[in-house]
Amino acid sequence: MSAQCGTTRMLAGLLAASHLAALEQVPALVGEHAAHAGLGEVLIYVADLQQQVLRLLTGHGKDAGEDAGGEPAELRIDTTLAGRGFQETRVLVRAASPGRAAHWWVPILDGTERMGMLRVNAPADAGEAQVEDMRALASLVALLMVSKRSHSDSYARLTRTRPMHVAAEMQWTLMPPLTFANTGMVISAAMEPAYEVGGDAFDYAIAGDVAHLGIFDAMGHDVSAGLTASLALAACRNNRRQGVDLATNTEKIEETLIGEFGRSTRYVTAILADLDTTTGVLTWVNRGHHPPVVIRGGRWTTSLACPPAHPMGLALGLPVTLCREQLQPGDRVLLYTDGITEARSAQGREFGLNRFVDFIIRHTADGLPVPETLRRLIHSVLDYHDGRLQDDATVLLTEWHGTAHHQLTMT
Amino acid sequence: MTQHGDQAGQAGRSRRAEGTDEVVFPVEYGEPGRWAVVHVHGPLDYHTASVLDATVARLWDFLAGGHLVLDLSPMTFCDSSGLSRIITVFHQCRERGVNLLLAAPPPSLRRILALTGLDRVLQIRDSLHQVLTEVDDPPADGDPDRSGSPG
Repeated sequence: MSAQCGTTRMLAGLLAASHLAALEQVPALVGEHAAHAGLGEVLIYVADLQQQVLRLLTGHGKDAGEDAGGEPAELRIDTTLAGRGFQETRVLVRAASPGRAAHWWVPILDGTERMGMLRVNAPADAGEAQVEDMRALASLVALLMVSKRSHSDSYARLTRTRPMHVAAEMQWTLMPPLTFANTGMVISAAMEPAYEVGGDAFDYAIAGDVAHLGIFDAMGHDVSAGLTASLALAACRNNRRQGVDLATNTEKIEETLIGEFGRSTRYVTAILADLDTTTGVLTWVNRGHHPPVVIRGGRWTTSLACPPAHPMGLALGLPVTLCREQLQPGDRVLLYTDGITEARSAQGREFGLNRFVDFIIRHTADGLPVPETLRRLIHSVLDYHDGRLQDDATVLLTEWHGTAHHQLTMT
Repeated sequence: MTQHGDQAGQAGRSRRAEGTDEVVFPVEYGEPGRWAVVHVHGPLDYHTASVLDATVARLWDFLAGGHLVLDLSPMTFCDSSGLSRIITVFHQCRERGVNLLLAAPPPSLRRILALTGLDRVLQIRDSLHQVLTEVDDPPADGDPDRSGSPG
């Protein structure tokens, strides 16, 4: 049997078997079919919600993570080889003692969204073809987990390190994946406090050449704030999918909010934007929100000015202005909520816009992938606030590549 | 012009009625139908927003189309509930033909009002003194300090 044939058998066999499997069966099926391609033992580690640890998916127990069988059940992302592979989105290998298989760590990516790491036992000098098999297997594992996790409480349990509040439970079901990339751009987001988030939400969607972007901040941090943000987000998508323009969309969101909560009772600030990925033209409207920041050429250029209309829900009738900016290739557009910049240290000092923008500039200059920069940013904001944020903190970063096709892939 | 110095001296703490825990926003009155000032002491938040409501609700008959002044100089904090309550008062004033003026909002609130575009709707003055001069001696042709048309 040729190597190619083994690869095909592994992938096709796994695909066929997956139709009648729940998430719990995935580890066993993966192990069984990996053998067809000559790969040794395979373990699946998934990242928790805050991307601090990797947890072993065993398929056993209420969180599908029991009975680790002597393997580490949890690995810290900041201090382990597996974690480094996750941070840098790289395949890394740990050589073993003579005669024993090495551990190959392969990122599990849904598109460019980092879900976890696959550990494959194989010789330390495995050839390129075998590494390609590992990557193909990791890609398929990602797709299987994405298709299974939406109906899996086990997965939700495994990826949570503590109980979640009701509002956060609602918000996370509405959020798109934290990262998206194609040849023209990267979009990445982070939202904290992950287990208690209430009134913040972000959104993006692709339609042809246009990337729709949005960030929302509802008043308060309670369940009502969560309901307000969820309603605004759902109304926004509903209007957008019917072809409504940005300014009108915010007016219709406001109508929906007032219809549900009454005038001036609950309100939401927001930026809605459209990026034409072929021309780099960014159009946006500001509903009482912090203006977008553009980083150009690796330094902070400016906050984009646009006369704000009142927050949606206050019914003040201010005109909504559509603003326009021509982006340059490599520009990064930051949409954020005040929880990022106004997080306070124990001494009462604000994290601040400068520190926020400097952080992004510094870490991307170090060559870190955008999602990893945001992961470190949000942990830095959390550390600044001794691990507990009083306010929701969200950032949505969009990098437009223009004609230079830098792809965010594994190296 | 009436006295308002005594209340202004209370900046930084909520005023509470004698012997109770109830928060009170003191009111001073001009001539009936001319103006009334509500001194918003301490935090304006989820807990005290209803006090503002109740205080303002008692003034409509007295004001009868005059000026309602919210003195924000003694306000220590304003959260999103407080802000939404100020806008609720704004709507109520508009419906009743009362002119709402905000006096001396603290810098943090001013930043929020600018960020949210609300400073294009609300009439904001730097000091209570400025407001009282204005309402005691109203200019013939409306409001000279009102910012230009929203752009």
